[in-house]
Amino acid sequence: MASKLGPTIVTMGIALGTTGCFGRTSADGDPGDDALGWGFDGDPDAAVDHGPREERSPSHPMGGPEPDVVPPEDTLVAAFCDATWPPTKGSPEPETPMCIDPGGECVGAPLPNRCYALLAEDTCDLTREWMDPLHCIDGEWHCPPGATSGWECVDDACESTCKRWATPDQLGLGGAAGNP
Amino acid sequence: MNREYTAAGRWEGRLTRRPLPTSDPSLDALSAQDRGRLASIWLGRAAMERRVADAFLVVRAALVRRGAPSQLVDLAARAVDDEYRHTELSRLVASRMAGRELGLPQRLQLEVPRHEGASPELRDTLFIVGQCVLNETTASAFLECCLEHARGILVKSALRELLSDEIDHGRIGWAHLASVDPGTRKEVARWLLPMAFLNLRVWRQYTPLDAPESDALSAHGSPPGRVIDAALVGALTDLIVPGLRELGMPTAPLDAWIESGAGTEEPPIELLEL
Repeated sequence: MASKLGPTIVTMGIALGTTGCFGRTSADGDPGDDALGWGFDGDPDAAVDHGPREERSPSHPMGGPEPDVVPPEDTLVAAFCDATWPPTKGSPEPETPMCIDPGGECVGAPLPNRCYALLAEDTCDLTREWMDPLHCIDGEWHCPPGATSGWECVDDACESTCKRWATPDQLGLGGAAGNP
Repeated sequence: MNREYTAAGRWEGRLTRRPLPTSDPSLDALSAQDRGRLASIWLGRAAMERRVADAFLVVRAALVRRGAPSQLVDLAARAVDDEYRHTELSRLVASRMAGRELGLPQRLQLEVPRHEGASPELRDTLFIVGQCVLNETTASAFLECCLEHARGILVKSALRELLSDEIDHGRIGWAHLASVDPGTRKEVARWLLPMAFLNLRVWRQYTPLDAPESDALSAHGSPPGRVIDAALVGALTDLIVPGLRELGMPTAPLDAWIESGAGTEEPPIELLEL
């Protein structure tokens, strides 16, 4: 599907930069725009404060001579190895933190060996391990929502929380139910 | 929860323009696995949004150094606050997906492009172009795509809020690019192929083609990777390149790269000569 945002972002943005004219983000109002004094009364300089002219550098974008510096080819080749501005959105996996502990409460706390998908109460799918981040809750690491480590440990005694195993039907394999 | 957005922001201290739906029955119909996956995706987005707030601090400083109109500087300052709100909004959606309150994810480190070989003045403009013209315009296309496929009322509401802000953020770059002289635009044009290549490559890293996909994920803000990828390339073909042309900037290397499939496996160095 072709984007319909061209007039909204590109055309309006360019208009803002060339004339000082600024359109609203959306038809339903944006108090921030008014607060910032956007507007256009026919005189671009009346609507836009370019700052004192003497403060502009020789290569200032709003004035000064056209630069004629052309970067050498190897500069641009090296530019392919530069950093880039990181995306604001995504279905992130690569940099998703493996542990969510903003308060640092779980430093040194034991990690669950694995996190298994939890199909229903006490019913585990041991064929699927979860790779999502662990969450620190009250100083203990917990598997992400919908998953379980399979064990609940109090002091040195550990009890399995997987009372039942997923059936073939639950796993989408068909056939009769069965436990290992 | 440590709240960073302020009353000086877009909605006078409110998180969103309109209150988010208090319930979304479609969430109850999701499997635990889908809810967990969606919570992870939205929490990851919260971390990404927070990092972009740091990016806009850099953009704002660049606009100030370039003597940009005060309104444009104010818009960039507001973008920082917007991204703080986006962080909280994404965390809130993640919590609704999880069915319990989730903490903020760990901060992601921002690495600012170096643009080695560019003058300080040009580097500032490249910062603004890279973050706003490329990154935020692409983000708008990403959100438009997510919204097109979303069906859950909570996510649709959140995506609309995000998109309306991102449009503003993209405009900052287009406005700045339109305000510079033709010579500067010509200089910027030389850097566009590497910048666009790197930007698309990192977007693809965050939305891989082989990411898990399902109707449930699409309905709640995470369409299939191939659909997202088409939107990312579409941002270049439908928004960015036409905008650059409108400003009289040469786009032959970009055109050739996109024409060849906009691959991001190998840098298209040979196209620099066009």
